[in-house]
Formats: sequence, structure tokens, C-alpha cells
Amino acid sequence: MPDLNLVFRRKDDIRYRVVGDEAIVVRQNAAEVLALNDVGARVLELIDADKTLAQVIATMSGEYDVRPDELANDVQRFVAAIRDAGIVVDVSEEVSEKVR
Amino acid sequence: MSTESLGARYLAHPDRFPEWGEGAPFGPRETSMTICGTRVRISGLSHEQDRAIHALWPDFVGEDVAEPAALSVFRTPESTFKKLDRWVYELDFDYQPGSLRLAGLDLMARVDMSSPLRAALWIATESPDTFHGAFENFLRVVVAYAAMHRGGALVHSAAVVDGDDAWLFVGHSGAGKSTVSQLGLDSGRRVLSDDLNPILPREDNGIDVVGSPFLGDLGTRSPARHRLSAIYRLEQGTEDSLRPMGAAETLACLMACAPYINRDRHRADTLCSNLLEMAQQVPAKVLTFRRDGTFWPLLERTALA
Repeated sequence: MPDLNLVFRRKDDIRYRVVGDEAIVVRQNAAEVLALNDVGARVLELIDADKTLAQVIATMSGEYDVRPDELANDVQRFVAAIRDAGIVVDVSEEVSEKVR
Repeated sequence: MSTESLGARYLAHPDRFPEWGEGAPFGPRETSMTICGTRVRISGLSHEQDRAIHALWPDFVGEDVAEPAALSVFRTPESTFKKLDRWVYELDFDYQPGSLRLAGLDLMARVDMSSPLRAALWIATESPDTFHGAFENFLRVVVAYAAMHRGGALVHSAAVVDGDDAWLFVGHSGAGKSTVSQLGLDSGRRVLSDDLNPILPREDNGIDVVGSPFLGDLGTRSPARHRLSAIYRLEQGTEDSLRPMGAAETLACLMACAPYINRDRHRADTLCSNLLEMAQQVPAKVLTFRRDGTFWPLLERTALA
């Protein structure tokens, strides 16, 4: 699971639209579309290249009635999934790739 | 798709993509058509190409109209295109803020997003098969954007007419659009297309599905309009059942099935807004269905309810 100090950003070909409590994510390079529930939509909204995962979780802990360790676990799992799906990218990894 | 690589698999010299107005017309013929509520005037046609359009799409050819989308056809040397040994529908796009370029098998084109739309097609031959394939491939893109400009969308789907209304069946490739279309025909219903259907907002609320020239294996080339009564996402299974789809799931499903524009970073948001607006006006459900066609009563009961 991704470290809480990592910073993520949405990839350039990602478009997302909030629909009520949910959201859809469009990966334009692959013409793939996903529907997200309210928690997933909120995570994606907060991931904006200047917050660590810990900060994202801290923001959400004031919004959802769930134990902090449970929320952290859920968010980390979700971010790992959308990272593997090519929706978000670890900013520090991107920087080190550019340096190489 | 980067600008540099646009059409590299189809064009011998992708760097020589024609500019607006470059090239000579095939001939002096002009034809007007109304497709999916969009009026288009096609110029630069030879007599043979004009005849081909009239023969292929007689119900869409009409009188000259004011302020149509302007499509111009130009001749380009045969050496422009690479020879491929198979038919390829897929197109390469270069999306720009006010326009786009595209390349595909035996075609290059530009579309200007002005209102009404302006587009140009470069092809090499008048041969009916090649002209039909290239022109229809081009026309699909034009109609997708024209529908978007009218608040609608072109959707990969099967449209089955039931009485005065129509049902739209969407799903990934292999989900069963052609199967459901054939079952619809077997049950005495009519199929508009089992491949691509434009949907447009009605003036009195609701959505119309509009007959188009774009058939897959089944359908009727007719400009008929029918009120859309429901959208079904297809899943094949061992029992027939329906479950409602939420707004996000419906939007995701439609967005995934709206070709060309769902990849267009300059206009995907407009498409998304159109689809969201339309999705709120008709019920949307997941239809799990058996391939023996026993599900129609389920849809009829839902329509009555």
C-alpha cells in the first residue's frame, strides 16, 4: 500500500465528473470510464498534487463517521487501486523518472 | 495521439497532412442530406460519388437547406495512403481546441468546430466500395460532433423499436447488442441499428433516438425518430432480471459508449454534460438476459409501470 507521505496527482488524460455523491472517471487515452462511490469520488477530488495521503485522510476524517485507522486503510487501498489502473501517479516517482 | 504520429499507420507521409482548402474536388456535384437532425451539404463530388450517396442513403438525401454543415470532398493521390491488407474502422485523431484532424484507412479529414460544422475529406478514389467505407467513417465523426452540438450524443448501442417508442441497449463489445437486436427482429420488433445510434433531447423533454445511416449487422437505414423509453446496459446470464442503475453508473456506461468524443480532451466535458442531462430523463437499468429472448415481457411490464 502507498506510504502516507506520498503525494499523488491525477494523470493528464483523466477527466472526472461528480454526479450527486458519486463520480465518474474517464481515462481518455484508453476511452475507459469508471463509476466511483462517494468515498472514491472525494479521494479523487482531494488528490491534487499538493497534499500527502496523510493530509487527504485527515481532511476526510472530519467528513466521515469512521475510525481513523479504518479510513486510512480504505483510502490507501483505493489509491493503490487507482494508481495501478493508471488514474493517478505518484508525483515523487514522476520526478525521479524525469531525472533519470 | 501526438501531432507528429497522426495517421502514421495509414499515411505514407503523415507530415504532409493537407491544409484547409488544399486539393481539387472530384467534381462539381453537391448533395444535401439530413442526418440525425443535422443538415449537411456535401460538395466536390463526382457524378459517381453523388450517385453512390443517393443509392446508399436515399431516405437521408433531401432538398437544399439553409446553413448546413459544409462537408467538402477532395481528391488526393493514391500514393497518399499505405496499402493495408484488411479493413480497419479505427481512426487516429489529433484533437485541437477548435478543430480536429483524423486519419484512417484511405482517408484524411479535418473538422472545424464552428457552428454550423465545417469539414473536409481527402480520399483517392471514386471506387464505390472505397468511397462508401471512407465517407461513412468520416460521416460518423461529423455526426457525433453535430449531435454533441445539439445537446445529444452518438452512442454505440442497439436501438429496438417497440410500438412508437424505442429501447436503447448499451454494453461493451460482446455484451449482446447484436444478439438482442436479432431477438428483437425475431419478436416482430424493428431495429434502428445494432451499432451506432444518435440520441437527441426533445423540445418537450425526453430523449429521441434517431435512425441513422450507420448500421452494423442489423438495422434499417431510415431517418425515423422514436421517443426513448429506457436505457438498458446488457449483461448475459442464466436468468432474466433488471436492476436500476445509479446516475454515475449510467453516465459512465454512456460515456464509455460515446465514440470519438470521449477521447477528446477539449470536448469530453460537453459530451459528459449532454449525457448526464439526458440520462436524468429516462430510466436506466442493467438487463441480465438469457439468449433465448424470454426477457421481452420484463421490459414490457417495466414500460407499462
